[in-house]
Amino acid sequence: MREDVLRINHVTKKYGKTVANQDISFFVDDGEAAVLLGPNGAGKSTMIKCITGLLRFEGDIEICGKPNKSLEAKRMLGYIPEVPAVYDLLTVEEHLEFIRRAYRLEDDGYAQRLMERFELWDKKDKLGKELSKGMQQKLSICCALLPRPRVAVFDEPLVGLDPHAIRELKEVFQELKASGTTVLISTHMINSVEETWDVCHIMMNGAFAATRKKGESAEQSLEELFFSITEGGEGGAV
Amino acid sequence: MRPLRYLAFTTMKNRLREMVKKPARLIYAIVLLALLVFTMIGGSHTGGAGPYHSMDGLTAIVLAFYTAMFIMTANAGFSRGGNIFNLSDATLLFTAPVRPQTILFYGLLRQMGTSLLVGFFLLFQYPNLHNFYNVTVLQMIALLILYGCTIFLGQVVAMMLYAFTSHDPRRQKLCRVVFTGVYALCGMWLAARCLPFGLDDIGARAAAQAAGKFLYAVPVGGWLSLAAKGSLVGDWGLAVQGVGLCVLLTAILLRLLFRMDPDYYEDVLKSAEISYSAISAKKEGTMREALPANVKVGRTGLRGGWGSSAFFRKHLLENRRSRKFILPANSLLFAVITVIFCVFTKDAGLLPTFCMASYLQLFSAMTTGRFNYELTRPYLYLVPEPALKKLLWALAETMPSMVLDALVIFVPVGVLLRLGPTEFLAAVLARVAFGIVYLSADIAVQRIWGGSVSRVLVLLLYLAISLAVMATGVALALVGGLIWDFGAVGVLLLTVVGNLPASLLVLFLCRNLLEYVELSSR
Repeated sequence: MREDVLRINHVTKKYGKTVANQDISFFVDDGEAAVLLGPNGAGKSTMIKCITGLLRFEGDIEICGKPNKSLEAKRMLGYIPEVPAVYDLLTVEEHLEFIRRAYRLEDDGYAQRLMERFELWDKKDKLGKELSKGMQQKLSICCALLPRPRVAVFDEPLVGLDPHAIRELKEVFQELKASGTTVLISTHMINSVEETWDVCHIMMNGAFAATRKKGESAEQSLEELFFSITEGGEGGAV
Repeated sequence: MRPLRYLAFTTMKNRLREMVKKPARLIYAIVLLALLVFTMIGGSHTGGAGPYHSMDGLTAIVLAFYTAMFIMTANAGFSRGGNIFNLSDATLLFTAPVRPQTILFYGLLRQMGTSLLVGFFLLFQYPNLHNFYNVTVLQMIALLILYGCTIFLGQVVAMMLYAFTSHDPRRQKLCRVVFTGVYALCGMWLAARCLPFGLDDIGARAAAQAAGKFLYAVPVGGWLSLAAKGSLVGDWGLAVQGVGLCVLLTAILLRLLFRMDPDYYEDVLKSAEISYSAISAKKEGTMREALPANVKVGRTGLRGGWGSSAFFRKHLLENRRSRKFILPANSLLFAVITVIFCVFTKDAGLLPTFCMASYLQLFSAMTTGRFNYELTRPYLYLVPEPALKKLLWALAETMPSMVLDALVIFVPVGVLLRLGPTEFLAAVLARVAFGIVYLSADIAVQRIWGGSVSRVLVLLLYLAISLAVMATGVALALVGGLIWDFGAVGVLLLTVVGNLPASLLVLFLCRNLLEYVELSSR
């Protein structure tokens, strides 16, 4: 039986008087890929940052049953930010060594396997500042995956990537799913997650405007539904 | 010229409007002005009865300050040119049908205004200068204007150096050797004239040498100090000579710039782009540091660190690669000023020099090393370790700098004052403890306001918190010194006893800075 690896319960996030997320609740099953889809300013990144514990919020977020701010939850979470989190003065290999040491992980060769999988092994001695945006994104993913997280959270992962890097990243989503990792992706590019999503939440003005599960029969395609909501159509929960 | 005049006046008008829209800035400006008026009036009515110190001493201090500021500003020309223009100027003005000479003139005038604004804080030194040297308000303003000229000329020289050397590494190396050599020679000449006669009266001897004909030999810093001396002693001939030399240099430099490379746009564009990308990176929360063009990787691997301490090992590795001297330039400048101060106040013992050093440290310590860069990356928040532990390890990298900073100051001060080992160690320890006070105040500011508040407001809060944190240490030292007469060592150790626990308490209270990224990047 599948368990809820990620559970978001009545989360509200306000910046002063501005409500960025309004009473959001959802859960993601073990090995499932959920997508937060919405236009810029819909509140996707804020939701992602609340989940990763970077923002304060009202409500509850649990990762594998642990509050997301707890050290146990942090150990089970991998976060890939929109802007690749890369240190200019560390080599590729040192990034992974740093994460391994900071997370108190023994060297079991997984770092090398990740570098090989993401075609970074031949660049292991290159500094972070010498990498292209696509390579930096790959390194950022390696750093997030090294602690073998149960949940991998991607915030607008495809922005600024070239077509080759986008194709590779889509493959990564599939591989993560296949390995049983729960994936949550925020994006405003519908095409980028077509093959990946199991459940899709369309966000508008800080709230869920619609939720659709893959395989559900519906009159509108996901794209039609998205545009009907974001361009002022009726939309509504599906 | 009309479009540029419009641009200048509209910018100024919009700045004033912005001030009204954001009352915090207006309040700050009013408070600052009120403080300045209070300082000026208060300073004019205190002391003033003499006897005053020799004007040679003040001229020597001015010479050291102007020259250091000029060297630091002009030195930028070897890497990225001056920052006279921003990217908006480069994209809008450079493409407009306006003569390049007119645009350059506009940029230089605007830079002069900015320099004067930056030097505004010098005016707060008025009470000291009035009490010790009988400096008047008008003379103080003259010193400020000449400081503005120093920065202005530094920018012009930086631009010239950049335009002349940026395309040719050999030429750049040669110019760097000449530029550094001129000032090194001046320093060596002065040392050769003073040191052979021992340390007694070295202050008076150095001041007499520095404030004489020597001023003519030190480019820009010396010439402007000549003008400053002229205004201080009422010798307008000297002032005219100093200003005249600088005007001549400016005219020659601008003439050369136009003749050599009338199309200076390309050079300026590059430096404008670098500044712009640094500013926008900071706005996006992806702060980037200025790195050497070719980073030498050297030995790889962190070679240690487990859990939170991995941050410390990473910072050490990054510091090695960035090839930055362990002390920032302003710390070195303040160390020189402290040692010069010690030369002139030798007879009063260690405590006045320590007070001066701590006062200057308040401004030089506002750098938490790699910690601020670390706050813009997610790992410090995500790593599953206790927040306080991460905070302390992420700040640990500043400790070697603090100790070195204390040694750079108190080794020469120790020699000058002939300190014993106990006094020396007490001074170093107390200096490091004050460093921790300022560090904790900086963290507290981050915790309260994050990074998006104006720099001046941050400075005000930083000053207020620093004073609050050091209150216990200073109070203990005053009680120990005045009531129980503990002597310099006792007073210094009492500041440590008060300052360390207070600072650690502040750090403990700020530990959740690393639990929410919004606390550091609002």
